[in-house]
Amino acid sequence: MTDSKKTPRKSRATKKESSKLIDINVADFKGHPLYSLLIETAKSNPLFAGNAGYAQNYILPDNPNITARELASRLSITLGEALAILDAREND
Amino acid sequence: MKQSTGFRDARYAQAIVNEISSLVDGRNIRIVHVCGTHEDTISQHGVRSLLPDSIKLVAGPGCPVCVCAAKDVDMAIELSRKGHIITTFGDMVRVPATNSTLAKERSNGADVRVVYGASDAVSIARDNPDREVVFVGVGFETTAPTIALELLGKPPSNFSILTSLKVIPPAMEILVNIEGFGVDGFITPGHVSTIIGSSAFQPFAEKHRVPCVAAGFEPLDVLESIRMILKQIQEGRADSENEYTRVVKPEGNLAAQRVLAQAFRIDDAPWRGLGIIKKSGYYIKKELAEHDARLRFEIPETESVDILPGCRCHEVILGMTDPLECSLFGTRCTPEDPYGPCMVGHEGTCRIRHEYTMD
Repeated sequence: MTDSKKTPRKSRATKKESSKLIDINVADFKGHPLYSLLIETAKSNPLFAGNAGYAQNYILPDNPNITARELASRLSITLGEALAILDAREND
Repeated sequence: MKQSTGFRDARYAQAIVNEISSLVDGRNIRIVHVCGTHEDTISQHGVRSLLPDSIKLVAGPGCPVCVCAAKDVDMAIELSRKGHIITTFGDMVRVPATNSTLAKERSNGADVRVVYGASDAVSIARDNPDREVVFVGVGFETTAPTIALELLGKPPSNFSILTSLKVIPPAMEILVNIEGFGVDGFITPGHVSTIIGSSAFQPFAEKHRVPCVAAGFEPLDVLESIRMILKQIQEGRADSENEYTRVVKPEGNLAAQRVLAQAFRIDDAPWRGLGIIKKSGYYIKKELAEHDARLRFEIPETESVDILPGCRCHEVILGMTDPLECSLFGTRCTPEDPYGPCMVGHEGTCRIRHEYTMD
């Protein structure tokens, strides 16, 4: 029997939320005592300004309600950096 | 073998190191390379230990697997769960994505196959006409022409490619524009230079006043390229020079450049942990859209996580953090169970450092 005759096997994988992930957005996290430290650290990333600029120009205008996780995924950046970008927009 | 050992001769190495020491003249010099194979040569042969302390040799974004966006891997995982055959390079199956890896999916029953190149994937597609075969194409300018060639060679209709192909020069632009990072010279990647030519870096060298030297992959190649960079600095020049003359031509491989231009367009691309870099990704042209997995399958946008909590791969990729400074290195993150992408493949800085520094 060749591979082409086989019925595709259904993956046994199930969609599981990884315990590594933290589902947060700016609103959830803002009151945390370490929030300002997180923002400061994220902003110290040398690529922060470029990523914030890209988000401001190309992503946020069409997606004003984007969450930090969505933004992090779109830009392939850390969640902290995405939070900092959204925080900066709110403070503008 | 004779050629290889000739490029590892300790007497020549010592002579070049002596000249490097006289050229550096006590100044602090930061030289960046953007190639995983260069990092392997440097680490394997202890090149850093031969250099004066004032020369810092830094590994930049030179590993295609490391910079592959998590959402691309997530997409491949999603396709594997739909029962399609996923084909890709060996390193890619172990790259951590948001919740899984292709290797984990394979152990759960998905049909994930390791291939040596796109042509193997096309053969699999021909052998399995009733199934969709997706090739996850990851790489830089070096790998992209081989994929372009398959696209242009009328592959079967059940074959498609999920591209995550990157262009190196825009990433170098990012590095020189980082405030306070300071790049005094670039060792440009030998493989990439073979395709695009050493002259391709000349405008970059002139624009940023940074010497660039295309280097081969033997320890003497790397040492000689450092000497050539220092010579340029001493003479106040900033040119793109070629140390790897036995392979790299100034104009590069014109045939490869032609197929690249026929198959791909260049657009903004996400680099894992770094963000979107303008005009830094190869995407399949409209005329070949039937083989573009991104368009062929309706894959919902996922909330992918590129950098897991605690991981410092994005800093390592930029050359801002040494792998040994990461608390996960060698503990939670090992070659057997990589937590971050830089620990996966043989071009990843963390993996290389682990191989040559850990007992």
